[in-house]
Amino acid sequence: MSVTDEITHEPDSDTSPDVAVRLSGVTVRYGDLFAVKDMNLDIPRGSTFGLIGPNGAGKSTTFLAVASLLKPTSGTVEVAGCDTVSNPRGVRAKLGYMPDVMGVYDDLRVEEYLHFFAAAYRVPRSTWKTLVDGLLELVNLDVKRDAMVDSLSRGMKQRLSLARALVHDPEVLVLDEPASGLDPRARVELRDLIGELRNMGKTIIVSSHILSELEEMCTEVAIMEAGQVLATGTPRDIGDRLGQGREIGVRLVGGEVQTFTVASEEEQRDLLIRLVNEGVPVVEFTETSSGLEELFLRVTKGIVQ
Amino acid sequence: MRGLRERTLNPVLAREIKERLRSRRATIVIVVYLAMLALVLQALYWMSDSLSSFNSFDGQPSAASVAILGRQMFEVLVLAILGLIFFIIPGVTADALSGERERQTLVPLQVSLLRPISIVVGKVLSSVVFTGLLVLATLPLFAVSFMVGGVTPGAIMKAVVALLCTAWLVASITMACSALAKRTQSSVVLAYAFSGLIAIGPPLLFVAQDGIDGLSLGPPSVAVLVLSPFAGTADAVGGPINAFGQGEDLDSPLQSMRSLIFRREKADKEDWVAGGNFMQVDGGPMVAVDERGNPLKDRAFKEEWPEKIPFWIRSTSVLGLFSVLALVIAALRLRTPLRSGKRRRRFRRKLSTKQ
Repeated sequence: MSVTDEITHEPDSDTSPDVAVRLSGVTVRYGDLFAVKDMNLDIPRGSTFGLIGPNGAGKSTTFLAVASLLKPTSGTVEVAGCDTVSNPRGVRAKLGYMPDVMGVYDDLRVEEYLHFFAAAYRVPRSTWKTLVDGLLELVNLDVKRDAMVDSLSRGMKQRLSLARALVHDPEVLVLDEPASGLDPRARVELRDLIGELRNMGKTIIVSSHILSELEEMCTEVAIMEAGQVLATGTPRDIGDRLGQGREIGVRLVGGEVQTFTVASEEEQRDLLIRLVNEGVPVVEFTETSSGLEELFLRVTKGIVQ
Repeated sequence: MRGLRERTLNPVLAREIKERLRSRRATIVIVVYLAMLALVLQALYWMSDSLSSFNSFDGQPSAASVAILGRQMFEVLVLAILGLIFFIIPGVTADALSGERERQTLVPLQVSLLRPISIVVGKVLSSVVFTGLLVLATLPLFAVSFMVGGVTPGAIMKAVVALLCTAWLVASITMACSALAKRTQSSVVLAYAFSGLIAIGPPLLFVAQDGIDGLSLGPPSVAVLVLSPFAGTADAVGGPINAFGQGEDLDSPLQSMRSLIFRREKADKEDWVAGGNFMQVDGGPMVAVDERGNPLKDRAFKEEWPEKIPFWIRSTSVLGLFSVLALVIAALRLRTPLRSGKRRRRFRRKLSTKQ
């Protein structure tokens, strides 16, 4: 069913099979402005990777370069081993891109919209019905199959846009602000959907302003500012590297809550052993994560380009 | 290799046709178009009826005058549709790419496996198909002229092909305008400007040449008319003319245009011969000679004359090249990845997405 079965796009390089997307020394300039500056990033296969940064940090520019829409001023971007400049079609066969705003065709039904993109991705016509049935079920739009696209709510349009990005069964999904403008219920639905896609083995690169959501969703993050990557890794790793202690909340019998700060996982373990050995009546021992938001504020400096 | 069942129509063409036929605009265009043509035909019929009766001996129009009337109706119809193509196609095509950009639907197309030329050709073809629909809707009107007489099915076929070729040309030029313009309004203005230039530019230049001729600045040439779809259509569709460039009825617009082209080309040819490039040697055929009158090649005059290719073929070829150029320009504008060295604002407009 994958379009890669139809069109063979051999990898251009011997990129590690564990790396889905590799950015090497990527710089993007618009005139005098550096939108992205010497970016080096390896995004592991099967991960959900969050790109965090204030407006103008260069997230969308990075996404455009990854989606083979923009040629970097210098450096290379590889998606599943295909170079985005020398082999953009190879990249497009393996990548699904969902821009932050979904444009609609006024006079097209939901099913027809997906058929159109199935044809655009050269998916064999005989598989269209099964494919569209599966996608509509996945994004929970099967009841809207015959509805006009422009009659859908914003949340539904986002889900349809996601289905569109999945029409050729890509290995890598790039989602630019997928939750932007959605109501709380639509956000939860979208987050669950992204979780399902991760379980299907897709590599997902996502940006969002809602950091708490990204924290729940992402296995790894990169924090960007002024076109540069300031930190990458799991939020916990970043926190450890920054020397930011972990806050541990300990609830005792009777409801009393005490807070401890530890520097590493080892210290956290030692704290628990000590409390138990001292006979402290612990009923709850929880890491109260300071979260991405705090990390973000600590890492970034509020520089605006 | 994929089987026939797996082959699909150009996806952009299929979607455009579906969308266009569902829109209310298409219905309005067809209704207005048919109403205008019917009015033109009715007006012509009223005018010509009195003329035909006047020319007959017994108060009844003669078979010849009825045939001329049929021919006139047909040619006026073709001319009117040609004019409407220049009016309608830019209107319905100008937003083809700029509109996609404005609606934010271009990026998903650009990241698909569709090639830019495939997107552009799909959109141009949809405009041609729409014109085909208009022409199809006009067939009953063509049938009226056919029943009156003086028109052959072959002439109708030629006219349909000429109209579709013109629609392709205008749609291609409009597509280039749509790709180049940042907004649909600019695209509409550009498209009408270029279409107008193609429609009336060559005839105006020809007339201007005549004016220059009056000042003895040089002979008027029909070469400029090669750029006119009207002249090309006239030569392809216009009625038969004799060796002197005269038709049966010079009131028929296309026939009189064809006649003018023929006579002007003949005059050009005679000027050229008089200039000494050709001469008859020993009563034999005309041959090419050098400045001293020595034969250059032993070839007959007809073979040497470059305009042995019919005018309409020359016109179609030149305009076809224009259309290819326009399509290439449009496709190049859609090509990605874009270079990032451009100013950010310009780049953002091109991709219609935020940085």
